[in-house]
Amino acid sequence: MMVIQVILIVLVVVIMALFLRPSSRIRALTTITAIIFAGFAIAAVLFPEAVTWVANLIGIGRGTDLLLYCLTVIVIFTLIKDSIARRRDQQRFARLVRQVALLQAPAVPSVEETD
Amino acid sequence: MIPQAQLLDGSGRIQSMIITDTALIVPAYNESSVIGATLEQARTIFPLIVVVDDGSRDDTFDQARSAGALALRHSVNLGQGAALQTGIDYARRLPVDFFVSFDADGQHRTEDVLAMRQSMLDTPVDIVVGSRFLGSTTNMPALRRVLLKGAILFSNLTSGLKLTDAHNGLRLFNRHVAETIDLRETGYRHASEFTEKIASNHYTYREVPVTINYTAYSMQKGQSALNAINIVADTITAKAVR
Repeated sequence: MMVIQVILIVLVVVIMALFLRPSSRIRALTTITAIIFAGFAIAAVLFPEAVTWVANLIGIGRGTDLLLYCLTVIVIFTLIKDSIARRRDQQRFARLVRQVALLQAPAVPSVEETD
Repeated sequence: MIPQAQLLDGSGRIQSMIITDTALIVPAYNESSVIGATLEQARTIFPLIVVVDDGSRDDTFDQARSAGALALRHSVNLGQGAALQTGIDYARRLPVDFFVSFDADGQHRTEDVLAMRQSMLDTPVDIVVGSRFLGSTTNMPALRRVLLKGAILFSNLTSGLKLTDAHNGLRLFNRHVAETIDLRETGYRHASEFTEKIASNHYTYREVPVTINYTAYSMQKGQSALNAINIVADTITAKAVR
């Protein structure tokens, strides 16, 4: 076994352990998906040819290219998801700050008007 | 269009006029060097001024309060759109008929607000929008003019409105608008959002010529001429995002 394989497998296991720690919070489906994903990750590390075989099936030359494409899609997806979440959080935060300002606002003055 | 001289000649009379059916709403962020003078001048005509200090690091809030404005404060900086909306929310509590979005840096003129109010009283609409291109603009840089013209053309094409100025911050609106506008954009995008809401909320509107004082201060502080590009980008993304 190559050193890099050991490093990668340890990393996958550690990440899974960290990810699954607040297990009660995570839905069962997420947990199962994560474990299956970890299984595939370890398999891919141990048998890189298998990834190339899958890549060839769908018309990609090398397994590393397949991984690169998947990674690109995942990164973009995550960025969009995060920016939507951040935008929503900003709006909620703004509403909170605005409410505080309105709560501390000066009393409405009585205007001496004839009409 | 009223000639400039006529407005100036009438200023002696205008100065003595006090308008209490109109509230000015002034979002302010780090404006302590100018806000005192702006408020002092505006208060001679409009005693009801709501200043929303948008989390300034200077003493804008204290300046506004000691100048006699109704001062509110965002505990952190949110952006001009949020400050304007907070100001509108508060101003709705006041016994006024009209609301004006007014800049803190002195680039807007109270004479123009009076003219806008008069236009509103003569022929009521939901919102009277100031236009730099119907009126005369002091020192508008050529690049800014060209970019803004392009942005307006684009904005009109997509919104179906017929405006001659897309991002004018000087607007006078009635209670119906104040109660329904609900600006969601916290930052500079609120200007585009305001225009979009005129279209989507079917507000009746009219443009009135106004003069913007492009002073060294407002140029340095305000958005760059490239903002015209933002207007176009906003118009496109607004459809996609919301």
